[in-house]
Amino acid sequence: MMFLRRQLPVVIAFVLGMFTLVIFYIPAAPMQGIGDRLKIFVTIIGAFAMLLGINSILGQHITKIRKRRPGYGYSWVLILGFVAMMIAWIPWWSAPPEGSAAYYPWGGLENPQGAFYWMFFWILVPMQATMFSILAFFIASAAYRSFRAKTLEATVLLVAAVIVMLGRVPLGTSMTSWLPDAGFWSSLRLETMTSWLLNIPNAAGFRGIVLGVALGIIATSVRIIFGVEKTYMGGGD
Amino acid sequence: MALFTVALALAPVVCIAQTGEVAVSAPGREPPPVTPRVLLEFEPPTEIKARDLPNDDGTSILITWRRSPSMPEDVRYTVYFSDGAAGPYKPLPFDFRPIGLDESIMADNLQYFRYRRAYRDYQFIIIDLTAFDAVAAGTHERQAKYDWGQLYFKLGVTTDSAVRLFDPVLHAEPVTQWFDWSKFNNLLMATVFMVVILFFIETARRRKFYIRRIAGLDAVDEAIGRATEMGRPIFYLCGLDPMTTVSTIAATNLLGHVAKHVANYESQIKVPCFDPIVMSVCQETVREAYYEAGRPDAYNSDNVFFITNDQFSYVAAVNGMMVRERPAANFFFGFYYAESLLLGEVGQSTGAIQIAGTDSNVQIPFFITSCDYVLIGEELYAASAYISREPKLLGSVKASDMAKAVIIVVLLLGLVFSVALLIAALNDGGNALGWLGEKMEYFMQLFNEHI
Repeated sequence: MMFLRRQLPVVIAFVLGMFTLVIFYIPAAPMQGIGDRLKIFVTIIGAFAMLLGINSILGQHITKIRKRRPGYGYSWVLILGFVAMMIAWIPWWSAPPEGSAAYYPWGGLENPQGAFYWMFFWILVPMQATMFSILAFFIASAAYRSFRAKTLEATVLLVAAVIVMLGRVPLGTSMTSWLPDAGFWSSLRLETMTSWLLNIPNAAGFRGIVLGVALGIIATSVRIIFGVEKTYMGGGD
Repeated sequence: MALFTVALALAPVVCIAQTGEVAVSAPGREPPPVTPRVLLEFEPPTEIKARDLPNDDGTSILITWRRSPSMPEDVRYTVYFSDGAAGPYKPLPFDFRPIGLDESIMADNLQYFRYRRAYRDYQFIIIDLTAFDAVAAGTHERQAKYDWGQLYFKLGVTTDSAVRLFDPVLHAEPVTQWFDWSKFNNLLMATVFMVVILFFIETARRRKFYIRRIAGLDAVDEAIGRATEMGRPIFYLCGLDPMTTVSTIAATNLLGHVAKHVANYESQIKVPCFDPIVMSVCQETVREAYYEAGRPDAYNSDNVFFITNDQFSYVAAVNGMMVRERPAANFFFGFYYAESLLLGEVGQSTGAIQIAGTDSNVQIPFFITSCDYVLIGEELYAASAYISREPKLLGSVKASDMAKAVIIVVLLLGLVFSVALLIAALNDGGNALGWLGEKMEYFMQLFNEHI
């Protein structure tokens, strides 16, 4: 039992980890074919895991309804929404008309008259868009907190942010459009300063982070492949 | 010239243009009354060759040539094919974009060619032979209607209306490669780095390594203590990426340590998951952590749950829980997208102490503005080692530091080379550094391609 819980996962991680690493250097079709099949396994496992996910979320909300916990009415909304979307996707009367590949009177995104199409585009998509649009307000509040010039660093951030914001909009660029296009004074144009800020100090910082991340990924991968790090299996190292 | 005119009049599709060269009208169009002079009035490319594409799976061939310096800008190179050496030569049966004078320069491509200054005058085209099969089958399934061994090609130049083809007839057999030599430097670096990591892991058993303080990880205990005092839960998010990404693995590694502390403090941790596989791993990780802490009875599997794998639905659900349950602490570890600020700002508005760690460099600024502590990039990967203080894990962190030192040296070398090449170019219109300059250019090319 201990072998199944401790040693076997490490052996599988080592064998598959090394194999995936090795086939990265082998372009021959047979090896790439095996690699592609491994990726298909991941998809299949993901599909089965979705059942676990559905079990988890429905179980949570059914328990909430059964125990009449506060806000259990929303759990009904979730369960009804889940069932409605699932039923609407089913290709009822699925015999396709002559000449068409598939015909779903209710289901599928291919049928603009179908219930699934209606629920997807007129309920789900607007709600997603609403969540995304809230981001604009949060950016404003976050920017306000960050750009308060309390320290030298915050002041530098504020100045840089103002330059970049102005340099990216026509109104901002028109403010310095009277400066010449070439020569020393052109470097004081807002769009030039914006490009410099984004392409030199900003890009340098980003690259530094990316290099560190790349090394961190390799180090973590090596720790997992060689069984040094086992926390992901649960428990200690 | 008279012969040329007669040929044009007699043969609507194919006509003899110059010695050894053929001009044909573009397919599906009426032949032009006269082959455009623009196709005839420049020196043809030389050294036209075909060979197997190196470092591939044996499905492509490569055509290279020395470009014609006198070719006008509005003329492009193209390739015609035939299923016999004698012709007739037809346009490729799949989408093929003719290439211009300054495109596909051999010196710019280090995957298939070694860097040489002379290669700035050479261009190339890759012909993917599987495209013939896809066309033959009408789908992307392979069906050998075209015999690859019988395919012959000719390089040509084209305008919108006509084509001029050049000799020689080109033919090459594709060969399957069992090692991609363009990745040799990658393999070398990876091997050296792995050896260094294993060396430091081994050394760590005998020697103590210093690791700099990471404020965000020092604050983990503080956050858990605060949650215990306030009697409120802790929210732990593993990001939006699946279990196959290393940042999610790092987040679940860290979850093990955090959950153990939570169990010791007798507090409560909630892990809303975006991916069902991540949920399964997190359930197991938290359960084991509670067992290790000697509190298996306190583990509640309902606290590690799946929500949805739709980005904004997930955010809406988590934000709703934050507002209703008012967690004392929020941990955001793993990879995040646009939802980072939505999560961070709502958490901030509820007064929770927030610690984030991500390798998504575009989301780091959003976490910095909305969280109390942020683990930037690699710190996320070092977090597990930092918290556990396990010597073996610390060894790998030290190895990463050594690799960074090497990268800094390489960067400095790049700077020196860059300045030297610039000065040499200023002094001498070309490059006065000879073969050394060529090597430096190669280094810079690699440098620009990979950093």
